[in-house]
Amino acid sequence: MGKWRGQKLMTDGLVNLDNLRVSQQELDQLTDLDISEVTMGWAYRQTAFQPQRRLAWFSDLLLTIGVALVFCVPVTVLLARAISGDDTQVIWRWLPVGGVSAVALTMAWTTYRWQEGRRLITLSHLLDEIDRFNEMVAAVEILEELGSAKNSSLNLENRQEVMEALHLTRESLICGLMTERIMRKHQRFMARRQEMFSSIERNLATLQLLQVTDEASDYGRLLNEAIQIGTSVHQELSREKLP
Amino acid sequence: MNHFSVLIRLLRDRHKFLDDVRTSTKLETKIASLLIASSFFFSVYGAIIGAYSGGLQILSSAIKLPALYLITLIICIPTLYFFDILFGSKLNFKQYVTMALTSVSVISVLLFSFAPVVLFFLISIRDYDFFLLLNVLIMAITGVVGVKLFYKGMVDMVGPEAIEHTMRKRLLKGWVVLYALVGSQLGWTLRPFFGSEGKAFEIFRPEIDGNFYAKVFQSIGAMLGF
Repeated sequence: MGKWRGQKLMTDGLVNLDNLRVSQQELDQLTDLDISEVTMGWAYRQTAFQPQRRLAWFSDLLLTIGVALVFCVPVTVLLARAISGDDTQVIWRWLPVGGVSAVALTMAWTTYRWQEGRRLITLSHLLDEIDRFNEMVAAVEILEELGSAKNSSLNLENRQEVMEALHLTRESLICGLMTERIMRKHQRFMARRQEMFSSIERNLATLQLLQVTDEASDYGRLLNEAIQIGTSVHQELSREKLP
Repeated sequence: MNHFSVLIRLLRDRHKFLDDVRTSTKLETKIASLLIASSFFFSVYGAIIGAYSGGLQILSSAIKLPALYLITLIICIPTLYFFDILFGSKLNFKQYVTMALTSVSVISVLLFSFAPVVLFFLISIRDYDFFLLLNVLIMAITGVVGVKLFYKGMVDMVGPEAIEHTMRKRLLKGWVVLYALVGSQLGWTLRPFFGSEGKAFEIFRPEIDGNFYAKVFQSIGAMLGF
């Protein structure tokens, strides 16, 4: 089916690369989690603390502290009021307790999410790969647009191969997500059947050894395509900047 | 997860959202997102009404207003859950929490949408009674819309085939009244939200006597010159 789609896309004059991109909805459906720039469901992604994503993570943290304050401070103050019998001095003294408990709650919650993230490390890596893939699709799209512009010498020479490679990568990534989801759902079962899976793994390893040469060349080809695309876009953009 | 996009999804496509709640799809993340988004919108509105007397009152109201709506919800949700399952509901606790939070979130967004209007009156008219009644009116309108959507959603959710359907409907109406009563009394306990012009900041009004409704009638009387 994937091959058919690939061929259809290749025969179309102007390729709609939106079909290639792994969309947010697809990600949510395939993982059965709400995926964002920094989170996977509750859990933090491994890249959440990277400098370019720190702002998103920090705003998430601020909102969490805000909600914790909304619950902790009024409840603490109301309790202090009830216990002290409306003594304002006592209420003011108890106020920091509310603030500190809000911060403590947020810290505990953040630690839990970070640990959950470590548990979902495979998914986190897959999502990073998908981000990279989407960036690559965007680069091809820019290249296509630049190529279609008049007076442009830039063209994707081996377009068919690039499209085929992108399709193959997309399918592998989606397959990876589906597998990860199944593994995650049946984690307890998998833990019990450790021996069975280790034997399957041994067989797979033998098979993989046979395929490794082919895969390496495929991967190399893909990498070369990516580098070529990136360089072409960079060259064209630098040329545009020149007066 | 993008908390605000969950709320936008709820506003744009309520039916799809309710379907997700019915099938218990990702309820935990929905609860967290609605909680965060509604707290944010309430806080903004709270800060605006606190700006009437300025200073620490802004911060105080930004915390108190979301607390008012959300703590009321925590107080009232067990009543709804246990009574409703007694009368034939098959929904689980998370579904109840999500449904109640959808209502609170809708109220928060509607309040937020009134923020420019309140800000305009805050700048142009410095009359305590008018400002109080204006806010009571806005909160009443938004509350009615939010609760109506909640009621409709809850009735749709279980459907007419549920056992003791009429009784459940009555129960829901009763719960809505209970929510309003608890909310208004908690609001009275948590006041001041506006503060008083020219007076020092008070975290709470020292006297706990009286009630919300008596104050509203008193303000109407004062505005009409009685």
